[in-house]
Amino acid sequence: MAVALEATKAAGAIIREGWNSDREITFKGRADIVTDIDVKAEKAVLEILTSAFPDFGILAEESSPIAGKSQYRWVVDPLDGTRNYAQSIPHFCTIVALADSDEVIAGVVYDPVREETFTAARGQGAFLNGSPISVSETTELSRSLLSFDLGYVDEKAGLAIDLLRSLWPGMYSVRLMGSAGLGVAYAASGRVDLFFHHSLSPWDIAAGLILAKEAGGRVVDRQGNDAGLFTPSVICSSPVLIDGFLAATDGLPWRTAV
Amino acid sequence: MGRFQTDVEVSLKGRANVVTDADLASERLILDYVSEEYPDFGILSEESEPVAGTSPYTWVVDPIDGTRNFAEGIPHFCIVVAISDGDQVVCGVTYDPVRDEMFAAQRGRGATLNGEPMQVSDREDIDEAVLGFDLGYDFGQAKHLLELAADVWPRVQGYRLMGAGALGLAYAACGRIDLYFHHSLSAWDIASGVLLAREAGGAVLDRATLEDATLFSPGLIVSNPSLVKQFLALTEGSTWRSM
Repeated sequence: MAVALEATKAAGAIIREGWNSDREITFKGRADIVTDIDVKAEKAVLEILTSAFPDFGILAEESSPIAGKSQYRWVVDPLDGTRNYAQSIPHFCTIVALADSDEVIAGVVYDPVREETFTAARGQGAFLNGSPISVSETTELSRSLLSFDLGYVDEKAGLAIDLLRSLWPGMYSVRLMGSAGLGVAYAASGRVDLFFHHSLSPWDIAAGLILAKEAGGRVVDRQGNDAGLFTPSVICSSPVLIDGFLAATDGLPWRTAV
Repeated sequence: MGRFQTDVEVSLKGRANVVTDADLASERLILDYVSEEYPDFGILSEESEPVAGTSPYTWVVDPIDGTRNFAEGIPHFCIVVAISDGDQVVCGVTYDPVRDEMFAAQRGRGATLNGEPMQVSDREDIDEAVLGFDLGYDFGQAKHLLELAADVWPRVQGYRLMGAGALGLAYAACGRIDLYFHHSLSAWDIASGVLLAREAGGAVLDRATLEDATLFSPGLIVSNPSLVKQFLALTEGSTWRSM
């Protein structure tokens, strides 16, 4: 955990430094971008992680995967919410998680703007800046604040918007803030009642999986089964609200699309 | 700010509209201060009855914009304090206490973010634009907004729905969001935002009339003139535009 925290702080420093300068932006896809800061921050994170634990594997957004000699691997997103960063919207984070084969056993989500660090380790609870967090206590979807992000596949994003359209006014309101990592962390800490997304990569969800679990919640796939590192579509909330969401969205295209 | 993450007493104004004791305390502080400095001004503030002044100027105040965010612990909300002259805003500030960001503008003197000049987005094509909006408190109208968002997709780059309209306007004024739109804001939500965006080089249109927005425009479309034009073309014929 200490190493993970050190790594996220190092990324945070690079991200903060880069904040006021011009960014070089490269397009990975129509709406999928990477900045020079992503790459620099990832390098800093990986240097710290690999020098502390040279046998661990690495699964990081901007690098090729490295198979380690150990069953453990680091899962890293140096800058989640790249679009926000590129547009200077101050809402993004660094994600570092540790997996034992495919099971995440510890994770950190670090927001360098607000200096908020969400942490969790298996069996040890979930915390925000050291204070325990838990998922929402709201039991009704109609009183819930739902959060989601669009992701990078246009069609799936369209289905998510359609879902909200179909559901409305069956929820209190909606947030779309531009960082899935923070979205899941906010759901784990009850700041939003539920977060859903349809196209996440392992490094986006890694820390969120353990945060939510240790915070008394669940992360499930669109069928309601426990999600894992390689589950692209997730719903994160308390068990009660997940059931409510699944019931209310039953049959909608977002739920069933391939 | 000390209120922020402790349990707050939340009273419900309407189904989706909350006011916290922090709103009231914040308002009390602001109004006490400004009315001592300028006792002749009128007061138009979210949580109080309007006060008619003897001066042509009015303080327009939203003690916490993004109250739901505040109540839930989402660190994205702001304070709005502006001075109006009739339906025009002469100066205004929007302050984000979490990130310590002060957006300010004075009529004819430009707009700043923490003292640095700011401009609206210079993006030319709406298909590369990130659009900000919020749902508001009228469920029927929000329905049409969601319809619009669904119909327009994917002819824009992305959306942001962050839960504080005044910050949405401020972000449009400084180009963080390329275009911001809303259909049911109150004077105290938009007072400084309208001036911020205008002084930052933006076009700020009343959603219904498509004329320059005033303090009392319930709906707004805010961006550089080119993106506003493209947005109008994209949304032509939608219920959101004509409701």
